[in-house]
Amino acid sequence: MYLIGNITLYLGIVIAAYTIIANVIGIRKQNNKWIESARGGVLSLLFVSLIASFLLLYLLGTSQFQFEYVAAYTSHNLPMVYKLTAFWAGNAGSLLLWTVLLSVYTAMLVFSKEKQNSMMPYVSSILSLNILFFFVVMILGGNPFAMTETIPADGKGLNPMLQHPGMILHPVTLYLGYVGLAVPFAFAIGALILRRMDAEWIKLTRRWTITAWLFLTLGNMIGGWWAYLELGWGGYWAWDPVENASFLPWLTVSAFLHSVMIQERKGMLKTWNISLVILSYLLTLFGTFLVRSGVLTSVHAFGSGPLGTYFLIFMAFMMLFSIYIVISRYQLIKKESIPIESYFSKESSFLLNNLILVAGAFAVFWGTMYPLISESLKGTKINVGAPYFNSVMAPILLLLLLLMAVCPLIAWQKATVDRFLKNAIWPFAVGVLAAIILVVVGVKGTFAIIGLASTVFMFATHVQEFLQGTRARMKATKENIAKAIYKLTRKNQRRYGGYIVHIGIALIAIGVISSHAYPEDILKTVERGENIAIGDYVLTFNGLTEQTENGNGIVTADLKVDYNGKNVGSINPEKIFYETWPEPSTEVAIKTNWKEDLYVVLSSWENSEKITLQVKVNPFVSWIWIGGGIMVFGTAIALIGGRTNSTGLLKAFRAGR
Amino acid sequence: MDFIYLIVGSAIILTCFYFVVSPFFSRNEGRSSETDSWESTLTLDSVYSAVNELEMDYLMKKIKEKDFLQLKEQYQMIATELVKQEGKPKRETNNNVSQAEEAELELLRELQKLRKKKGRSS
Repeated sequence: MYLIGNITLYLGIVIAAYTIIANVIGIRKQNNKWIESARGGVLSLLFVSLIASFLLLYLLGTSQFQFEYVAAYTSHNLPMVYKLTAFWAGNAGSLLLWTVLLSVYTAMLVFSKEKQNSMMPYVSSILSLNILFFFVVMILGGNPFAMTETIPADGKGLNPMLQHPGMILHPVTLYLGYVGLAVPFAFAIGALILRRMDAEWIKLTRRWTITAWLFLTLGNMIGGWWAYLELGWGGYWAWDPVENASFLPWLTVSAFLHSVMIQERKGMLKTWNISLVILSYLLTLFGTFLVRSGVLTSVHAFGSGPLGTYFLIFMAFMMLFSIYIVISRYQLIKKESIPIESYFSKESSFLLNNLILVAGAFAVFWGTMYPLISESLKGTKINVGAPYFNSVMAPILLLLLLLMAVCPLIAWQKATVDRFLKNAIWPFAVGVLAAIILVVVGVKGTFAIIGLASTVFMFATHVQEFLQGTRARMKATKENIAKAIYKLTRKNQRRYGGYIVHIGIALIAIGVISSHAYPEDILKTVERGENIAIGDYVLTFNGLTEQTENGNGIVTADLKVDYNGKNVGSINPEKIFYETWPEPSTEVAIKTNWKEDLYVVLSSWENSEKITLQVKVNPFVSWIWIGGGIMVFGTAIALIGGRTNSTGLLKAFRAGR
Repeated sequence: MDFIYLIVGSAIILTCFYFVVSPFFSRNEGRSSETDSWESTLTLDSVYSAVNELEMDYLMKKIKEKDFLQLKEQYQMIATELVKQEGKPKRETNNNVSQAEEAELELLRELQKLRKKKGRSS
């Protein structure tokens, strides 16, 4: 096993290096056999990385504790599903996951129907360079097939916090997003090397970029949901450095997905789009560097080690390489780029949206890196924490909500202020009405009210877009309403899929604003039969029980729940004492209805008659998860049926044909 | 047992070697790396979808009637020219009908055909 595992890793290095060389020779000699051979190299990379992955899964599943990685992250009594998900619980396994996903993506590309495209050898080389780096890093500092000196009787087990369904999905979806961003990067660089400044690379990577964005969205949503259920502090986003690291490329790719439409339709923002793609890719490396370097304290970090340095070197290399390519072709990009002509137009509103998203990314980056910056300047590490991020990001996100409210109302061609104002009246009035209602019903907090009203404004804009579009279609085609809505979406899936994503964001915004502005929280010690009243809830403590399950001790509190004076069942927060882990794990108990979550944590107990509970009522948190689902649905619609717009039309228009 | 692992390891190496080397012994020359198959091509289809989008924007009251008509006219001119280019050899044999008239008729026919085939798009 050791032999096979290590053969795959060393072979991976040799083949990845060969693939790059074969591609270079093929390009230089214009020899298709070398390009074909490089394609064979990619197939081999997929082959060895899959063998390495299945081998690791087998070792984990069969508890082969002679392997360091298996002994460090699994134990005999660990359920099989978590033995297998331990694949990405540690450094070495997660590096292998990167490698195999990257190999799958590369193979999908070089064997796709676009395999004969002249950009493909460049794309294949750049992706193979990434694969080479990961294989080298595994050999140097994260070999999943390293052996222990003595075989332990049992493994250390998996951190209890990782024994959660979130562990199955969160890392994989995030990695799929991270790795996916290497594809548009490789195409952008390939196009630059070939001096092809048209929108071809954008057309070829549109689905890849949306897919990567979809997975980043899913990864972040699942991560938030997991943290909310598992960490027991009642929140879903802590502005942890590693959380931020996954949020950064999400922001820049969100910007790219909008600005790319301007390049497709109007031939503008070429330099900007290339910069965004490069930045997004570098940010994925930055995130990986943060997790593995240990330079910043994070619940996600794999600990310190030399891996961070390797990532830093690779990131610096790729950054310099990209900068060189862009600068050397800058005049060409500039020559073929068309400047924005009108201040009031779709393109200027998209550019503003981009600037805000990138400003948000910069603010998050600055806050994340501030401990390091302060340490290098002042000698002391200063953590800025959630208050900084909340105060900086809140106005940025508010501006984004407002832009999402107005952008869809601006026409792609011949936009005029008076037409825009006419279209904006109703959604704006609905937003203002929402603000008035909130004030009348006694909701406090100016910023929260503005945020909620802006969200309603944005939501109303999108509803109006669907309604007006349906009405226009019905008028033109005499279709019935259901058919008109269906056809409207079906015929322009990219636009209406995007609108559905925006509606999902509106729901998330309501959840985020409400849960931040209006949470209720109580920490109270109660004896059996005593009550805790919070919001519309009254909880009655009925007793504490202890039991053992799979060798783990479980302490459970039983609480009767009354909501508005009516019994709605019971709730059972727990503490679990794992056999293989020193600290107990908190199992939060949650009761959800459409407008709030009752969130109960068993903090401590003196005996079975007296316990201390942390009880929270978090308004509209479930809307965040529903909004996330709607975002995924909208993205899927845009992904499946969207098509790129022809820049030929633009050229014809400009030529005055 | 080690013997089996050695055989499996060798098989992996040989398989990879085969993947990499086989193209050099293949008789199939394969297509040489295509270069510029993608162009920012202008088709009647793309003009048609742009007109439809414009029409939707007009019906949704996002643009003024004057702008709508002006832009539509521009699109029609582009489409006319496209149809002219596509049907050039055919027209050279027919001297009875003026080129512009024929192009107009053909444009109408093409748009009608597309409308029937695809339904109206937004």
